[in-house]
Amino acid sequence: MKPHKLEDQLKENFSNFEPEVDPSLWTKISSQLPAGPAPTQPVTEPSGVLSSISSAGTWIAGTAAVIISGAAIYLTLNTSTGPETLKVPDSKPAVTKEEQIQPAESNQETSSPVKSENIQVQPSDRKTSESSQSLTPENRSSGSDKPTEEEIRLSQNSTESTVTPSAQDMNPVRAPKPEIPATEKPKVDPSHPANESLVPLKIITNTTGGFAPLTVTAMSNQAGKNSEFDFGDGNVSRNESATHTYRNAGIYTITCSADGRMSEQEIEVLDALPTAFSPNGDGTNDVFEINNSSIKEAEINIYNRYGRKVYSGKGDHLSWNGQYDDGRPAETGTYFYDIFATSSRGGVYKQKGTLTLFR
Amino acid sequence: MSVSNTGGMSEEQLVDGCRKAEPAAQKGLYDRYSRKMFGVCLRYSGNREEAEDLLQEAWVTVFGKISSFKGEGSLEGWIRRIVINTALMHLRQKKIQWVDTDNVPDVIATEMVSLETRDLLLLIQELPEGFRTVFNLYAIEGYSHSEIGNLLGISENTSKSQYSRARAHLMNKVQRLNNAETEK
Repeated sequence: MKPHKLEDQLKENFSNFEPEVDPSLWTKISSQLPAGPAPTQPVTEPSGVLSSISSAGTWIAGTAAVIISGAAIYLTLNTSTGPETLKVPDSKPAVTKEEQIQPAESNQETSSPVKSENIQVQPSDRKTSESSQSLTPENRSSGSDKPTEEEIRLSQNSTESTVTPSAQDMNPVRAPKPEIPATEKPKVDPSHPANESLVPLKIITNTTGGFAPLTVTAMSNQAGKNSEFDFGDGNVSRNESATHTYRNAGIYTITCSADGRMSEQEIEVLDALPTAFSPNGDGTNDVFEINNSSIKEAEINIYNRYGRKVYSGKGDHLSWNGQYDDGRPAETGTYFYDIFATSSRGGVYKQKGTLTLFR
Repeated sequence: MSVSNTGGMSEEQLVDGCRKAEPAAQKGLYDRYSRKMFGVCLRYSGNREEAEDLLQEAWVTVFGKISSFKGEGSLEGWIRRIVINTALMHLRQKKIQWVDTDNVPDVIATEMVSLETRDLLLLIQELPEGFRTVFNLYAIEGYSHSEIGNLLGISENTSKSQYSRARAHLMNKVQRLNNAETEK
């Protein structure tokens, strides 16, 4: 082993020091953790491509939860009333059917608010179910690995005769579902009719801009339609959830077209941030610098791998010389930064990244 | 956006799951960082049992506070700060006496060391608590003396003198160990 100065030897030894932990420790830790929320949460958690889009994620998850729980109630009602439901012709309004079910259902959970909710989830109106589908596009992308959601959707879309087998299939899986508090359902579900039919085509993107390379995921609010996405730089996609990475700075317009209608979204791509620098005084890349005419103002915090803040700056021109505030040179290695930038066009972008320092 | 992906869950998904107190996410996060954090605990403790207690307490805090993680810096850094804070809290509870003794060990002939992590850890663990803490904070975590002063409620100068003593202490031990090895 090569001899080192004490501090360097320490850093070398301990930077990747990962001793085995006694497995019983986890049991002790987990026993001290408070119990989590309803166990239904993990089931409805989106795990598809879009799950990383945190802004869109919240309402999508919420909508998905409502649809699934709504469907669960509906299915339960169907199974509990048995073949009687099947006699109702497909063309009959959903309300009639619900009212037939209602008296048979003695369960207190399915009191009036739930009843009205079920009317909206009724599959007899194809447009309703179609539009509720389009509200949960992540279900489609993750549908393959979530057969239960898929089955629910199928049953929502299908005619009455196909509901029963699928409902029977679902029964063991969905058994605990009716325990979902009924209170949260009427609150959210009425939003569905508002979105049904004649919804203008609207493009949805996970971001409106950021630093290159910027990956943008676009979809339309009507997933069932054959949408085409033109990313404005020669790239076109017909995927329901279209993803493209912009490598060069610029202003791009993504156009979504479907059924002769169009919707656009502008994307601002800023110059890429440096990923490495070498403060060794050789005159090249000696500072980590953000000096970009398209940035009006930026605020950056840089942290070392131990989580200590090593640099913090705000302004239109930021630079870090690779030293701690007490003048000690920062070590070679990876640093983490958060940047909060306002572009000259007024866009506000937040980015996290890593930075390599070498000498 | 997070790139690392073990066990099929990204760091963001893990954090998200932990915010909802999902056991799988909690276990995932723990599995990812517990060993690294145990390494930190061992450095700040006198022995393994103490380190395990520290690790346990720190993780309970991590899961309790996960909602306040705003993504400033790395998640690992955030967890590490909690671990270190937990260690410092223990130290403060013990009301360490920061004695400015003149008992400075002899000046070390050589500055160069070559040691296995295991041996170095034992030497660090043998240091008196105050020395050990200042030494870890300055030499390994990279805090400045003024920050250490604030963290421990001591003056910057006390931090400096504690550090140089800790360092001399350690170097003495290193030398003794090296001598013992060469005599073998």
